[in-house]
Amino acid sequence: MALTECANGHLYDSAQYASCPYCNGGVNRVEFSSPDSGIGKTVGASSVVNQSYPGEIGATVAPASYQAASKPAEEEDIGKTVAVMKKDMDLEPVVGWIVCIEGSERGKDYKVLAKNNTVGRGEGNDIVIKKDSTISRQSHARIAYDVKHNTFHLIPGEGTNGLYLNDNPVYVPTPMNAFDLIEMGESKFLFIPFCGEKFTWQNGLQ
Amino acid sequence: MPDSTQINAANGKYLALTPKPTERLLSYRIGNLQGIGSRARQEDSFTVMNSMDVTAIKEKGFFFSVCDGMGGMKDGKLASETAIASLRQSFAAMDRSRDLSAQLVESAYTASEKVEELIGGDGGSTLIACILFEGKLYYVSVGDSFLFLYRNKELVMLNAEHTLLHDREIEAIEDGDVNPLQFEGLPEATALTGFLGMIGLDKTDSTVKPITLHNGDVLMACSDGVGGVLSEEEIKQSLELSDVNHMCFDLEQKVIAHHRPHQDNFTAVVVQCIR
Ligand SMILES: [Zn+2]
Repeated sequence: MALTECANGHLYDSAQYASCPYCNGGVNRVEFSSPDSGIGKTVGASSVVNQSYPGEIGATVAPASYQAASKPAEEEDIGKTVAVMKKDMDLEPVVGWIVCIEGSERGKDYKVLAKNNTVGRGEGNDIVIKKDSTISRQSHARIAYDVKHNTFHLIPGEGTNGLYLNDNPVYVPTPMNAFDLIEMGESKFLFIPFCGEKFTWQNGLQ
Repeated sequence: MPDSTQINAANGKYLALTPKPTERLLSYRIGNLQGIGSRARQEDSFTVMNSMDVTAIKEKGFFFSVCDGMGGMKDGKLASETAIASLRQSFAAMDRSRDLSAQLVESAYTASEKVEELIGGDGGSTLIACILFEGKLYYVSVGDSFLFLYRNKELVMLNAEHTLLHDREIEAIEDGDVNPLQFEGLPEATALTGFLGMIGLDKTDSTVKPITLHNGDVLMACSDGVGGVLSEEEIKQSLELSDVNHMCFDLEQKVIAHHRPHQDNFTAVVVQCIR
């Protein structure tokens, strides 16, 4: 270990890295006039090798094939830190629906928006199923639409009364397809995608 | 686990450092970790200052900061790096004989102005910035990043989050509402109401009086890719470990083990205080 604080204040092992591996993740360099800020110095490309853990455990951290992160940022806003801005508030287009086919709200449909939709009994959820008291108040499950890949996933939430997709328990994010059967609490829903092969909001009708 | 949900562990790095202890004064063991998660880009930035220099820590203090740039808007990385660069400049220029709390808050507003100039109010960054000087902690926080203090087997979150949820709860409490939790789960509940770069930023959370640090205290500043993913119990268990190497390693492993399908960038600076 040859610990070094780089010019931008990152601690790294200079015996392992030719230059600071944290600095290389940045896509923009920022310069201020102060000679002491240390910012703006160009950091050379690093060939990053496996980083062994410097403690007694002796474990090795996953191979560090460092990703030069410079992709455009248009995709995947789900879960990102987004500020409250008026212009962002009213623009979540519908991308599908779920329809209650069994349970206390049988016959009702619910919009799935282009986001990570929470499903629960409470008013604060994106999809509110008021009348089934066996569904968790907050975020029993989530239905996420991935704009980039145009796919839907069912994601387990806080629900303690079960979550099933086509009769299989859902423990991890699971892809959803047309007419998949979602079961939560004492209710059953069919999933109807609107966006898919034939239509997306980015590319229109195919 | 589908491939698309795997976290890019390759970018999760951590390191630690142990400056030589000096007499009487607290010494600090410092580690940092950062990973890109499942994002295309790293928009978190962090910095430490004087970590290698015991004399500088004694005379000028130790500084660390974590900024979470806001993606989905204009360049989040540009915002968080601009903020960090400005804060480093401010810290270097502070007058140690004057009130550091006020100067730290001032440095947050200065950073905010620089981000706003560059990005025009359409994007920005959260902020946790801390000064450890003469055994005391000064901090300033804007937005929904986290500052934790682990002391005597308890974990305390020191900063208040600037989110719509938090603001509504505060309003409700001030209005005499006894059930502020009713707002949890609002779709935009975790949207930020304050961030560096926001036009008319008017709130920061900070120490009015500095917090005296004790032997054995552990501080952790982190972005919501850590603080919003791990439970307080999980964080506590990590910070209970014997040294910062283990802590950083353990935190990183836990974040990765959560297998979040949309794991945000995750960044933390961990500081262990030793007499
Ligand atoms: Zn660096």
